[in-house]
Amino acid sequence: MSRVNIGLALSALLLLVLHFALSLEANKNILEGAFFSSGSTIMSDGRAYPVFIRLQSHDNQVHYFEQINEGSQKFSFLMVSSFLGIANFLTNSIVGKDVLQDIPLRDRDIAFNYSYLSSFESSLTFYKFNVTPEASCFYIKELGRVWCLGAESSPDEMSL
Amino acid sequence: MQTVTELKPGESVAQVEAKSIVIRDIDIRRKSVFWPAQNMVVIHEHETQRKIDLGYSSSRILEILIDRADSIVSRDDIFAFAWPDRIVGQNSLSQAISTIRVILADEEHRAVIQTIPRRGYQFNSRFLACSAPTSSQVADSELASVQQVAVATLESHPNLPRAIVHGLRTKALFVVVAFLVLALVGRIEWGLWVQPNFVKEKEVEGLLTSLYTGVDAAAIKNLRASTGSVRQRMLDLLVAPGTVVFNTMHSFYEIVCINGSRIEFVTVHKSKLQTLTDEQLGRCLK
Repeated sequence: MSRVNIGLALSALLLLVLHFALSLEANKNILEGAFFSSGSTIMSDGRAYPVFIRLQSHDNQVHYFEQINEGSQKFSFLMVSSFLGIANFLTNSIVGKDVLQDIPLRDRDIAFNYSYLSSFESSLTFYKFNVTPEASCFYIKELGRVWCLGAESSPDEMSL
Repeated sequence: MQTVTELKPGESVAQVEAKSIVIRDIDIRRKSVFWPAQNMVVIHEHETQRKIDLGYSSSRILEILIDRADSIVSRDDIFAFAWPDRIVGQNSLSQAISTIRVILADEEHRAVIQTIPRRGYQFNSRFLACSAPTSSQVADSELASVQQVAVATLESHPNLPRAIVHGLRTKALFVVVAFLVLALVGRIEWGLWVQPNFVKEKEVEGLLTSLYTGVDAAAIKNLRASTGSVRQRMLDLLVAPGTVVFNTMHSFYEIVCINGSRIEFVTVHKSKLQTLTDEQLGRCLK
């Protein structure tokens, strides 16, 4: 076998390894387990609502639970692809009543985000960025939002 | 039979068409006699002779390489000399060189014709001698004797099936590699890789590490300017190192405080940013 053929064969082998590595990477979950964050949302009219977020991930599914004021809603996302900590998701059908019914959302940006997450097969692109080792932070391109999540849950009583 | 003389300096093969050129083999029992005018190589081996028809282009390639022995001949020069009226691809040249190497039994060592990467090819004059017939009779005799031997075509040359298989194998491997490269390029999520519409900037001051995120540099600049006073208040409130992410979500600002594995945030409408109390900021930072 000539040097050219040896080189080509080695290149083919290397490319196969890269394909295999890419397959592993593409199926790798960007989150695994339960993650939390909590805080408040202050609307344009000055009203402040406590917010609690829990995100649970397994396989290629992400379940996103958000409690705002007295209302809550669960959204579910299906991972379509991922690459080096960045992932594409599609929303599934929602579970529970529409959170928008419980709070008078005059602010269209907040309303749009809930509406977008509630719509079937909305695309969500997660850009993971490193902040601290304990926190998983994502920029959600379609919503313009930042989700930072940690392993520690906040106390149940949410106060403003 | 023939006398062997060295090529005279500057003497062109084309100028001495009547001459044949003896190419020595690494195996001293074998030699090749190149007849440029006849596009032919005669192989002398084990007291037998075989005639190989090189074809016009391969013959010209061998001719120009010998003509400029010990010099690097560029691919462009070879293309211009061997295919004067045609435009051919690199593969044609590589295939022709490969065939010549097989004929000269040089495919393994590549000592006679050397590939100079990215520059061209070079014929090693160590293997070169020029045989000039002392008379036309000698040349005629040589040719006559050649004509009497079994005329071996390219297909009947014992090394050529190997060359063909080698060539096919190279082509097949090349196709496989090209396919794998294209498939890999197609599989990579380039849209994710380049992270369009997302930039971030980090700033460290005192105990506070701030991270700004946004769709572009202008958005980050605006964000930094708008949240500067809040950031300063947070800096004053901090008693231990803390990390805060600032983001603009359309008409809202997101202020996310990272406290180890505990995350607190305030999402505030732009018009209410300055109404944030120290208590609210302190709760975020705690």
